[in-house]
Amino acid sequence: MKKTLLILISLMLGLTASVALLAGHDEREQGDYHEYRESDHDDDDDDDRRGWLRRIAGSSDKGQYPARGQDPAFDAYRNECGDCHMAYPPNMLSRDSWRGVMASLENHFGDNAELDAETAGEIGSFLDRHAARTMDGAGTGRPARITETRWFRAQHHEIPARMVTNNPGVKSFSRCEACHTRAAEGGFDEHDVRIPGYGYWDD
Amino acid sequence: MKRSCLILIFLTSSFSVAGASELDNMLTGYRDAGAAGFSAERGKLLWTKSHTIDGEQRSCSSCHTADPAAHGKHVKTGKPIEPIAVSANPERFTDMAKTEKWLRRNCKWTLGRECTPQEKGDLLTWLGGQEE
Repeated sequence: MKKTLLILISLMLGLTASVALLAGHDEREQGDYHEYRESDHDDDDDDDRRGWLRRIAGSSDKGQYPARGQDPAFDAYRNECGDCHMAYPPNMLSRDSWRGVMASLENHFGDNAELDAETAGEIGSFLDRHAARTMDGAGTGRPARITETRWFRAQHHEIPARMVTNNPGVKSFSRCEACHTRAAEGGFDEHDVRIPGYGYWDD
Repeated sequence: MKRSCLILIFLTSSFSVAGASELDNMLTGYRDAGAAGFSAERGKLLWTKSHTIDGEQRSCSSCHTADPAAHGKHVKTGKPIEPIAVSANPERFTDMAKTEKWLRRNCKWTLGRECTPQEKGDLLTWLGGQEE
């Protein structure tokens, strides 16, 4: 009887230990995954733009666009700008360029996107806080298009017009989300690209 | 008895205040700003009228289509636009700040200037499907 009890206790202990080990393994794997998402281990400069949303919103939920971010102006930015187009990651333009954009909302690339002064101020300082700190060719003081920045062109120069501009499912490079399936969450990994009518992109 | 009567009156009056829709409030605001009576017919005319701005022909229907109960599409970006007529989309004109924001933007884009309170009232009367 005593012996059975001992065996039982040791079995339970062993089980607990292995569960703990497994859990530890899980955590490590998840950690690796996030690290992997942060950096794609190539030699280009797009790593800095990864995970911007998570940094701002303080959330690492995969596939979740958080309702409220740590930055109190996040909702205003997403709602106002996302009303007409994807709320682009703010670190896709320099502070200078964003200031140019905010100063010319009345003629926003041919459209009127005026905001009341309070909202414009809130969003303007949000963009100041999260704009790209270093960006070649974008700090010109004018409202640069993201698609005209050097890094954007370097990333997309191999993609033929028939897949984007002449593709009725895409129409414009400004519609990130048309091909970058995780763009809304700030995910621009090449593995998540599906070009409408063409599918995977592999370069 | 007297007390419950008072409560009843209070309840009814607060109900009627809440019953005034945001659209009614906006129309009242335009009247206060100097507009006369509103006409759905004039609103409809304004909707379809074409203006030449920056060398482009622009009208409300450029994006919203001629039928405000239909789904629209942004003329440049292709962004889908929900119907603007209240009959097809009861959410419309239930938020004054949002309505004013878009009227300011879209009047300036379409007409090259802000709309007058009279024009806004005519438009909303037509889109709201309510004739005075």
